[in-house]
Amino acid sequence: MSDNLTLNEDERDCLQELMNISYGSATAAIAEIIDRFATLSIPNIKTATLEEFKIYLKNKLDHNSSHYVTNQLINGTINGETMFIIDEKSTLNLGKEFELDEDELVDDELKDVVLEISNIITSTTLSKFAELIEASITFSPPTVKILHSIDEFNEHYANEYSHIIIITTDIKFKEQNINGELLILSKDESILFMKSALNRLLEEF
Amino acid sequence: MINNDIIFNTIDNGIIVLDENLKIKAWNYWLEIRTHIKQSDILDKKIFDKFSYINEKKLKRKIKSVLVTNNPSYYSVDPHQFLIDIKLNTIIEKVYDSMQQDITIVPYDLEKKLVCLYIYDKTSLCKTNFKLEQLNIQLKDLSNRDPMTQAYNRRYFSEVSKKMLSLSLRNNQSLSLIILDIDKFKDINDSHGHSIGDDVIILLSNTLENLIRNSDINARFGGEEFVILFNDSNAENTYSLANEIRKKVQTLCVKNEDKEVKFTVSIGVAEYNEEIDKKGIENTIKRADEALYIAKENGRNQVVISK
Amino acid sequence: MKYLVTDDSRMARKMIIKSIQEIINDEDVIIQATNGEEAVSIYKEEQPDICFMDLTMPVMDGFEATLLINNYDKKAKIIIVSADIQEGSMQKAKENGALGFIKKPINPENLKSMLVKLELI
Repeated sequence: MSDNLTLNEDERDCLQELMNISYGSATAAIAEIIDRFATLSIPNIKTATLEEFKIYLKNKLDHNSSHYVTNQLINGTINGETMFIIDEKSTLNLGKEFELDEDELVDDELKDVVLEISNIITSTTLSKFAELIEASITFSPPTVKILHSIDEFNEHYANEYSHIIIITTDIKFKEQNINGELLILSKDESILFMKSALNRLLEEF
Repeated sequence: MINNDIIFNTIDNGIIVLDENLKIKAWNYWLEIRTHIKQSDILDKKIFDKFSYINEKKLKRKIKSVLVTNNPSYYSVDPHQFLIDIKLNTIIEKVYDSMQQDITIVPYDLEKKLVCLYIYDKTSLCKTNFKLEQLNIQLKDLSNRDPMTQAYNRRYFSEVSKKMLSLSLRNNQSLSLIILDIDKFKDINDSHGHSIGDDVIILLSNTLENLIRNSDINARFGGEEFVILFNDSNAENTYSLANEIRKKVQTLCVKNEDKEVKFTVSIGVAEYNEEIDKKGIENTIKRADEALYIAKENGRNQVVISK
Repeated sequence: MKYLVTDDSRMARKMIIKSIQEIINDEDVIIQATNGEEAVSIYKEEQPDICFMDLTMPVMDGFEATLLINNYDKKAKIIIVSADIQEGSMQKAKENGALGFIKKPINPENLKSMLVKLELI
């Protein structure tokens, strides 16, 4: 794999900071929309190959509990895909945060709750990020599924994702035991675009 | 210059403009036609005055999300199915009563707190997906069955017997099986031909399906051999059941022109025993097979239990 | 004037420094710290006039550093610079002794008017 697709230390530091800022917008948005205090952990940035990503996902999903997983596509000067992964227990708690009644804590309603939170975090984070690096992006509608094990995850991975930047962050709601993880995956050309944008910013400062 | 009005009224999806209090500010022609409600009649009315089934809390939250983030929010067809209930006129190949819809909500005017809803008809796609799912289920089932008799095949029996065994052990229930073989099947084929031979096997298989319970599994193991797994049944009980089967088979007959082809079966019975069958259900099958052999040796058309 | 800029990200520190370029003079000194613990010990040594403090940092976060610096010197002038801009965070920081709170990425105009309002410049 080409080395020019990995991030050097400066670029990584810059991306980290931009992500911090972007996630800050997301937490503020959540707080305003559902009137709840949420914290997002410091985003962890990792570059991986497709194989490493599959292993990461397997470890994440291969537990006794089920997981809700959403996918959303990013289009524009940056291209890629986001995934939001949240386990069953957290989803139930999230449903309560969204003020669902007892009889509304069912699969269909919970699917919508997960779609919403995923959409809010994804769109605010990435819009902010795009703004900071002067890119323009739009999103496709998110889709959701409930996975009981990694075997159900019959995804065909595009070969273009041969180099993946994985940005993960844990979202926690105060006291409410809700843990979700947002993964931002991006394609080769986008990584190149990001690198040049990051370097531009680094020079500016 | 693009004329927005023309686009607004000719576009092939629904467009609604709402304010943050959910009052309708615009309602396009696509919707007028399908809901039989004119824009002039619905302007400035709250959306649930006309559509009371809409979840107010949820819609308000999604609109707020759009206004706060300045990004779209969505009602996905899975799980919502639709926002506005539009009955379908389909007569042939009807899967859904109502139009399946994807909704996208976008910011229209942040200052005035207006949003725009786009309604997309996804019925066709959903139908295709639904049919695909059905076919998939059928396909999976097909791979578990013997093509000629439609009974389960040996591979599937192998899979499912292991599961049923662990279930039985967990629930402290007995599990038994019988192995059933048509007597002198070769003679039937030789005298009447393979076509009649096949008919005999099919008739036998159908009869077995009708005699067993839903929780029992009937599988075709070989040419004229069947194995049946009996849930929650001990050796004695299974012996009676096997005997019933044997007697019933005696009454069966396949017509070959003017001749009546009758046949009998020999049956070996075995109950799963934790000590003897340590290796698993395969051993139980082996013991039943040994019992079957004895039945054959002792004159056929009988049931023998493995001890 | 001595300024202390504390943030675990080098990029962030650069951005903060860039945004205060307009208000500082040539003779002014800018000291950098990479986490709360460093900030506290540097404060004790150098006595900076104004501190810009990030919140989420390893070893010691901005909330704690603000509290400790404020305990050491009640007149410490600490401005929180953070991406985390919720009511709760701002409240907590103020309780610990921060004078003000500015959102990342910093708008130099907003920063200037805040500093003027706080009579720091």
